[in-house]
Order: sequence, then C-alpha cells, then structure tokens
Amino acid sequence: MHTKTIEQLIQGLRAKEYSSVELTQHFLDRIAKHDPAINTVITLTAEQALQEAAAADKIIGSKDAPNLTGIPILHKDIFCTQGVKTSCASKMLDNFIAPYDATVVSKLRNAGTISMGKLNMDEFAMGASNETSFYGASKNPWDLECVPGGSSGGSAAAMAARLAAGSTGTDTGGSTRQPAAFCGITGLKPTYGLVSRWGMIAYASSLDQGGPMAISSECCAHLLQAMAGFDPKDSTSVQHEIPDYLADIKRPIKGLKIGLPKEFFTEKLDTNIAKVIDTAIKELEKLGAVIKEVSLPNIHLAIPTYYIIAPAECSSNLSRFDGVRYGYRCDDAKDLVDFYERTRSEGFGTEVKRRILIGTYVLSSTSFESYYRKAQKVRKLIANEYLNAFKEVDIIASPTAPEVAFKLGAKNTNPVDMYLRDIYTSSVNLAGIPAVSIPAGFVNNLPVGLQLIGNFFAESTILNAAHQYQLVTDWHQQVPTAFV
Amino acid sequence: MLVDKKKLEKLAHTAKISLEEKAFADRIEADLHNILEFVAEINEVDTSEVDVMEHSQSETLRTRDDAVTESNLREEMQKDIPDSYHADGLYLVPKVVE
Repeated sequence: MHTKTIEQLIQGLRAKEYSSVELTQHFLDRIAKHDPAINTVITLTAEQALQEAAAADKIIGSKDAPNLTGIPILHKDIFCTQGVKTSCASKMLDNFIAPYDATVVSKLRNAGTISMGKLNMDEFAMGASNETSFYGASKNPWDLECVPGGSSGGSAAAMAARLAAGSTGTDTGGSTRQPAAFCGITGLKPTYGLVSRWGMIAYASSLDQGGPMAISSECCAHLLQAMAGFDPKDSTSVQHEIPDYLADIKRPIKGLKIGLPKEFFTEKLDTNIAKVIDTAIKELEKLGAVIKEVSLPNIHLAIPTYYIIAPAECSSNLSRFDGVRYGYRCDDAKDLVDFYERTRSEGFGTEVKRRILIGTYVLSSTSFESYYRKAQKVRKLIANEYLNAFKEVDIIASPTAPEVAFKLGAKNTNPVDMYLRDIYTSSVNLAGIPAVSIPAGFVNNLPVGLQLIGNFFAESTILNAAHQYQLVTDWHQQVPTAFV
Repeated sequence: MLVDKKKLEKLAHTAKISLEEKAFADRIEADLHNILEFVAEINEVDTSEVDVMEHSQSETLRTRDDAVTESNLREEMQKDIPDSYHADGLYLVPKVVE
C-alpha cells in the first residue's frame, strides 16, 4: 500500500480493498519500523489518527465524503495543530501545545486526510540540511550518512521512506524543493498568497509559503487542491480562483515553451548534475516542449539579497519568543532583561541566533539603507527579470540544487557555504512565483532534482509538465532499498 | 571587522541575545563579518531607478472590518502552559519595579 499514489489509495479505499484504519495502521507500522533509522517524526498521534480513520471508514464511498477521506499524512512541525505539540524543532517551543489549528491543517482535515503526526525540520525552518533541529537531524533514506536537505527535511525523508501518503512542507528559500531533490520526491512551493500562512510559524513573512510534498506531481496536485484558497485570517492571502489541478495536469504539453536561464547552465554547474538535467530536458522535448534560452542577469545576487531580507524579517518575527506567555522560560532570572536574554539564548539554537543578529544589524539605523532597502530594490530587479523571461516562455527549468545530498556535518563550519545551497531556489521566493522539484535521475546513487518554475499562479502549468514527465519516467517511483 | 566587540554587544542587547555562552560568543563575531561581507555583493548593481519591493503581491494589503470575531480566549490560551507561568489569569515575570 505504501508505494501507491494518493489517487491509487483513493480508488483502493473506495473499492474497499482496504479500510482507512488498515491503511493508517500500515503507515504507523512502517513509522515504528523505519523511523528510528531516519528520525523524521517528532510527535506521533497514532491513537488520534486511528480514531479519525475509523470515522473516515464510515463515510468512504458516500456522497458526503470529501476527496481525500481516509488518506494518512504527516505535517511539518511548523504548522500549529490544536492540542498537539508544535515545536518548530526548537527547544524554545518544546513544551508548546498549539491552542488552534493552522489553516493548512484544518483545510487538509476538512478534505478528509488523517494526520498521523508532526515532522522534523531545521529549527524555525532555518537551514538547508535539517541539522539545526533541536531533536537531531533527520537522515536521508538513500544514504543514512547524508542529510535529507532542509528545512523540510523530515517531510522529504518521510516521503522517500514511504511513511505516509503525503506530507506538508514550507518554503522560504527552497525548503520544500531542495529536500525533495535530495530525497527523490516531489515538492511544490506555491505562489506567495495561494496557501494561507495562518498558524504556520513565521520565519520570513514576505517569503514563507506552505506547500505539498509527496511521491509524485499528481499527489501534490491532490494535496494542493485541498491546501490552496483565500483565507481572511491571513492578510497576504490572495483572492484567486482555484483551478482544477487534477484535470489540468492531464493536458498534453505539446508546444509548451521551456526556458533555460543561461546563468544557471555555466561551467560552474557540476557536470554529473548537468548531464541528468540535460537528459530530463530532452525527455520534455520529446513530449513536445519547445526549449529556449533565457537570461536572468542579476540572479547571482539572489542569495545575498535573500540573506538580508530573510534575517531581517526573522529578527522581527522571532522577537515574540520571550518566555512570558508560552514556550521555553529560563530558571531563576535576576531581573526582566536577564529573563529575556537567557530565555532566548538558551531556547534558540546557534543558526537562529545568528540570523536574528544579522537581521538586527541590517535593520539598525546605520545599515538600513545600505543593506535592507538596497536588498528590497535588488529583489525588485530579480522579480522583474523573471517576469520578463515569462513573456517569452511558459516555464523556466533548472537544477533544484547544485549537488546531491552531502554528508552530515560536512558544511557546518562556514554558514555562508551552507547558504550557497539555495543558489537555484531562493530567487523564486524573492519573486513570489511557484516552482516544483521532481526526481530526474541519480548521481552516485543519490537523487537529483529538476526544478520547474512558473509565473504567478501557474501551479497547473508546472504540475502539468511534471506529471507528463512522470508518466514517461520512473525516477519518482524509486524507493531506497532499505525502505521498500 | 564589520562588527567589532562594541557593536556586537549593542546588537545582542537589542535582540535580547546573551553573549555569555563562550562557544557562541567566540564564533559569532567572525560569522557576522563573513555573512555581512558576502551579502554586501548587492552593492555592485545600480538600483537608483528601482523601487523597493516589500513583498511579491502588488495589491495593497487588505484590512478587515472592525468587528468582534472572537470572544475572550484567555483560559484556552493558558490551558496548556506550565502552572508556574501564570496566576489568576495573569502572567508572572521577574519583579520590574523596586
């Protein structure tokens, strides 16, 4: 059951080949057996999941049953879940029981999914390897000595190990796509404003966006159908008619114009990765896509721009964690300043504190114009370059990451070295447009991701190309040997 | 160094991050310098004719009606926090006024 797509599971449940209780128990058994090796689950809600599955079984097949009734999923531990620990993988929130559900959580529940628990991640979504988690890093199922990517590393690793039918992730600079690439699964970062951020613990509010992570593009389309939509509780949520993603992905892609940014395909790109991406592009060409070179001249400034804007917003957002109303609180404070400083210093990990201090620096009166305002202008330049490119093409393709998964601990000494992992992904968040990463092959027995970037609200277009590619390839169906 | 000891102490105080932990304090000065040096690359491009972009949706942020939508949730919000954090519905912090 665990290798089936969400569509196949929906059909199996409706045909009574198995019940939702059996399906949920099957995944819970797999979590018990396999998770100790990869450390993806922070909180398991097995009992609650089985109760929800039993309730789902009573309505499966009836007219009233929503589309995803009885499908077991796991949530990144950044989404608030009422009555269940929501830690953001931080000591700061290790004791935090969320008093309400995130909109993404309630929408997926209303669509019929069963939540089995909460997934590991980089602390407050700050990291590209999962190693900043308070609960220890998740491991990559393809090689347990390698990172699963980050920040949604738990979501990606859990999907690669087939521990659920789908999962949720969030993406601020590549956090659904890069781990999806490292773990050989499909991960989508939707258009900013398409998926509500309400109840999704904020890192950088102008960049953060929740998205689905699953085996295939079709699975992601199923999950996105449930997650997307206007939410009055999120002031940046956009009123946009939600298309029928499942219908849209079935269209042939003959004539689809795919742009390859010349700045992404230089001699700096690893030759083995380049070979995989080249083969994938040829496959899309065989399906009728037309390939064209495009240019994004200032794209090399995306990472520096990102690492000014994201820490600035982070320093502002994370000021709410002061130990007063919830979360970690230090012992025996001698006064209020000592209380705040020790609570935050003991509660946050090193990378989070580093970003808070960078953010505080770039927002300070002497640096505001030269760093923060300047970065906001460069952001505009980069966004405009994408919009210009989309006048010529429908999709932009690139590698998702400059390399395959690296060894745990390999990039811990220099933060800038870790930041450079976002080279193909962070510009998408700066522009606010959608992108998906799909498995396209292997290098040294580790998965390689192909990134397909679309214009605003063009989720159908990129999921369509991804789905058509997955109909003629089987990279997305590969399962690591130890997790078959 | 872009951030000297004095500047670092001011930043840390503003952000309410203690520098008492030696392992952290020892590396953070160099880390901040390296990161700030790296991000300064953005200054190579001329942006004199470019507007700032605060977020990716060009439309003005919505406001909502000034209407009551939720009742007092104090008890619910305090239900799952440690007992030592509150008393009689109020949060307890170290004494502020002598």
